[in-house]
Amino acid sequence: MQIVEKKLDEIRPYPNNPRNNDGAVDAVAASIRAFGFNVPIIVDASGEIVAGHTRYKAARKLGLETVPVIVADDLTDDQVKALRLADNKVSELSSWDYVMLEDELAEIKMDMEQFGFRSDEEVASISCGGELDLEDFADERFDYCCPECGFMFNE
Amino acid sequence: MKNQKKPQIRMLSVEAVTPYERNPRYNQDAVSAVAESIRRFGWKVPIVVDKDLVVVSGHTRLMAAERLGISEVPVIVADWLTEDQAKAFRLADNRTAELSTWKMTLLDEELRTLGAFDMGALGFHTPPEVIERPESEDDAGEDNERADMVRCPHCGAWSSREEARADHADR
Repeated sequence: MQIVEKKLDEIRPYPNNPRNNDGAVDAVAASIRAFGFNVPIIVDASGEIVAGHTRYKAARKLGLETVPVIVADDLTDDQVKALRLADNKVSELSSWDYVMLEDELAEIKMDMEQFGFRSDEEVASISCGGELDLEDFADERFDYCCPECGFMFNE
Repeated sequence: MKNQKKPQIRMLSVEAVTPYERNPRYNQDAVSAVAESIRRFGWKVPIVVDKDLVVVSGHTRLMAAERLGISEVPVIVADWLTEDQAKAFRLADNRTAELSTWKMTLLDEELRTLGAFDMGALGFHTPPEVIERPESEDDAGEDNERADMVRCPHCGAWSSREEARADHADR
């Protein structure tokens, strides 16, 4: 496994990538600007993106000429398709320990809102997991709470 | 953009890499799916660590490596990060992943073409009857076809209305 620098026009998004990620581009761009491009984009042998569509969009937005890329040229077409989905899915299987998150956020001097963190109450109100008392968020009414990921929603 | 060295991958023993002791994530439930992904597809995304080899991004992958008995893991040593930046990126990397959602129709389409794969072991919960259902252009219409079930707009999991009803919903 090695990282190669590739020009942005040497790689391309998967046309049927089943993700709405436009709302994440600004936060990812802010992260790249603040911390560097720490997680390479994964592409298949043809240069089509497997993991990192949002990083790709953020790189375009930032006007980067090249990005770090890992070429996964040892995978079949089906494996590429499956990994593209799995990479997004597995990140949904973890959740926040909000008490510890608050402690961490309190110690960090940077503006964390640029990376998508909102005020504590707002963040907490979108999850039914952990030890939160939903009565604290009575103004935010949701009919359903996903048993899998804890996301609260209405129909 | 922050001025950094080009990231390089080093192979380090799992013992050399230390989890961040105050990582604010519950990730036990993700370990088996991540392990299955590594087993099937190989290691594709390196673990990112700070200059002291403390994990910044990849706690679940490290746990999966230990479960799989992998002795060496690919690591990017992000020694350009200050302590504050490492703390901030550790959180931001998880948070930004939450800002995207699934396009359910396209997801079902992809899952349908992967019929031979056991996607359940990778964390997908879409029931077979949904995958095999005739194509529809309208996600909302699809949802309504299953009056006894609701679908999470965030992760795509179907669950029974009863199971998903939030306790405080007063209706």
